[in-house]
Amino acid sequence: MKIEAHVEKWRRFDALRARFDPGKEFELWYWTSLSGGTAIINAALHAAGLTDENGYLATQIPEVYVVMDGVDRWRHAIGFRCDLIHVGLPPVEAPLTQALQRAFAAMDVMEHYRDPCIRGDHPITAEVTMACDRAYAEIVAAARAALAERRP
Amino acid sequence: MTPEQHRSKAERITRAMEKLHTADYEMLIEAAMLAGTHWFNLALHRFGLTRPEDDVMHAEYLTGAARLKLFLVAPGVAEALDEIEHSRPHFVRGDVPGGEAAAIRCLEQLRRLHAAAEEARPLRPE
Repeated sequence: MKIEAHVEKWRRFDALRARFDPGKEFELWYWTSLSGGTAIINAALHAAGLTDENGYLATQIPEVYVVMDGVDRWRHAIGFRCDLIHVGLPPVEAPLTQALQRAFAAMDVMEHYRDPCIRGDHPITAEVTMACDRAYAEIVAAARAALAERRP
Repeated sequence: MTPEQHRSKAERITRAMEKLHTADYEMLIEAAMLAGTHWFNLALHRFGLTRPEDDVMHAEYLTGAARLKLFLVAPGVAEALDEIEHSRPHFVRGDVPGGEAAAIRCLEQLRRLHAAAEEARPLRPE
């Protein structure tokens, strides 16, 4: 997608995030954080020139995308340097900028809780919600810094 | 996870979904995927097709053999989760118009997955 479209997705997830209680509604609070964080990281990767703005939309399978093929027709296609579905999926080949390294490190912290707490029944403690909250704030700050360094 | 743990997670997610409206289609689709996957796993465990320690994260990760068995015992269940999953590239990760209608379809599939989980019974006679 385009940078602006990713940023708009982030804004929408960020607004929804505020509706959920991190403890009582952890699953959707967390998922808005994860989805919003991934959206703004994709925007920052495009801005840094490490991945490309294009019409390839990410599926659940790394490097498999859906792409418009004529009017209202979609097909699957292999793609490289396109949007990530998660940090590391697929890996970014080029070296990350410092800001993006910070964003990726913070996303790794958040991803650590995804399967245990969302797919599994790992206890959702105050430590978990605080770690995710801090990680999300860092992702957004770092990705915004990367966007501010946008290459012409 | 055990069937009861899947039920607890699915019900928690479904309760939180009450804060979402059709205009919040991205999270409705994602929440349907999350809750639906728990109902899907509950059904698989109850059928005896998977063990509690072998949860399936996405329908497309099922083997062909497992998918065929599931089709024979509960036609349409894997396809219900597929429809939710296939909405994600266009409307959650992408900005294709029609997200609200897609979210409504995903909620229908979530209800279908919930019903299938409730109705699932062991395939093998005791």
